[in-house]
Amino acid sequence: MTIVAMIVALSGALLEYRRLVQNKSYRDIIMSVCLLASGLLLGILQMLKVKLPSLMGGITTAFEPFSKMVESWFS
Amino acid sequence: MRKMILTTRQATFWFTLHQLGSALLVIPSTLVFIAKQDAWLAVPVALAAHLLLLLLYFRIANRLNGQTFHEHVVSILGKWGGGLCLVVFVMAYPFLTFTLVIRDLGDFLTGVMMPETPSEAIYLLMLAAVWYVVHGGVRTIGRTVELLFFAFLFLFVLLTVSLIPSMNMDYILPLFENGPKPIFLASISLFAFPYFESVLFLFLASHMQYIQQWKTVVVRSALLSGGMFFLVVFVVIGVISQGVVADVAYPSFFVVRTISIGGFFERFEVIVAVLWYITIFFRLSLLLYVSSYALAGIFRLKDWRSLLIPLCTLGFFIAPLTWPNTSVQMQSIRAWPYYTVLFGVLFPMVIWLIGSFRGNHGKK
Repeated sequence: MTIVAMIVALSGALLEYRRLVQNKSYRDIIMSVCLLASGLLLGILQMLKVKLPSLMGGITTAFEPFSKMVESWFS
Repeated sequence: MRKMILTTRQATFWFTLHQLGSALLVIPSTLVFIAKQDAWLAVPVALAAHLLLLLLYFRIANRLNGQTFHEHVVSILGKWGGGLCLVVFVMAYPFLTFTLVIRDLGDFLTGVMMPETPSEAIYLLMLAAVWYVVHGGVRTIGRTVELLFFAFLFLFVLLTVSLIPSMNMDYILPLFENGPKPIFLASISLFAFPYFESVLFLFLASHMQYIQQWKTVVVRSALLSGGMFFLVVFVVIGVISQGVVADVAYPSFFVVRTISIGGFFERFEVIVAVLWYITIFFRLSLLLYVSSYALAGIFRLKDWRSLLIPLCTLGFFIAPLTWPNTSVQMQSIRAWPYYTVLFGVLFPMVIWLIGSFRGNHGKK
């Protein structure tokens, strides 16, 4: 499924880039390629079963003390 | 970038469905877990707090003077400072929320409706539909929401009315059993999710003809979504009691399973899935549009549409990384309101204060 998603994203992006090249929107292409490359890199890392950190895990670690503090005010 | 105009009606429906989004399904259990049978009282409290917060957003909107919100932030914080703040804001708030909503959708559908379907297939199909509508621009989204809002409203009323005969008012009582404190604590959850996200509507203020129209739309959508949250929480507690609501992940889906009138008027749970699909679709479209439009503005791109495919791709691959299991998800729900304070309250407060000190009220 990951490969299918990558192929769909790449084909869609290539069609978009053709239009952007015609409009000489080179800045748009650079920005788009950077974001797309990071997305595809994440996909490749997931396919290689590389363990990546959980986003919400980080947020929870950082903000749970605030949550506990406010809960203590209301208990 | 060409300016696109939304009508008051289109914006009201879009903002309302955005606010209902995933909250419609998950917020009853979050509120009931904290405030028990008084959870429904947390809705008007959160709504009142939200209406107060809107005064801050209105102050900022008054200073836009035809500028977009990101142009206003750059004019206040400078090209580099403003740009950096906005990139962090967009990636850490609307875009992160976008990935969380995709994940929510996958978890719900694979958990209760299509357990054998891979989550990625669900993400891919939904993202394709969202990309298509956002690519059409805000006018296309506006027309789509005009069509689907009434379908949503019809199904919502049908479900609510069908549940009323099963309500037991004893489940709502006693009132204030644990005092007002749990009600206020529960209201923080609803205030933060989804009402802090109203800060994103500032990015769409320039899409309305007059700023006064935008203010009316924001207040109306808050009242509409608040009314619906109130009804859902009240009816859900009244039908299955707070003890059951707090223990199920999707109480508004679960409660509909109990509808059985005359032995043939039943199996309505799929309607909840349809309702949720509609709200999630517009929620994702708003989050993707704001992320793409704001990033394109910050990096001075000619066409904000050029970022849609890369952002959808990133969202697709980040969604599985958001939380490893339900336990982390449940923990993160408690921390999320305090994270969103940064974006829903502190960020606009800083913009307003610095704007006031600098006397920068936007370019005419």
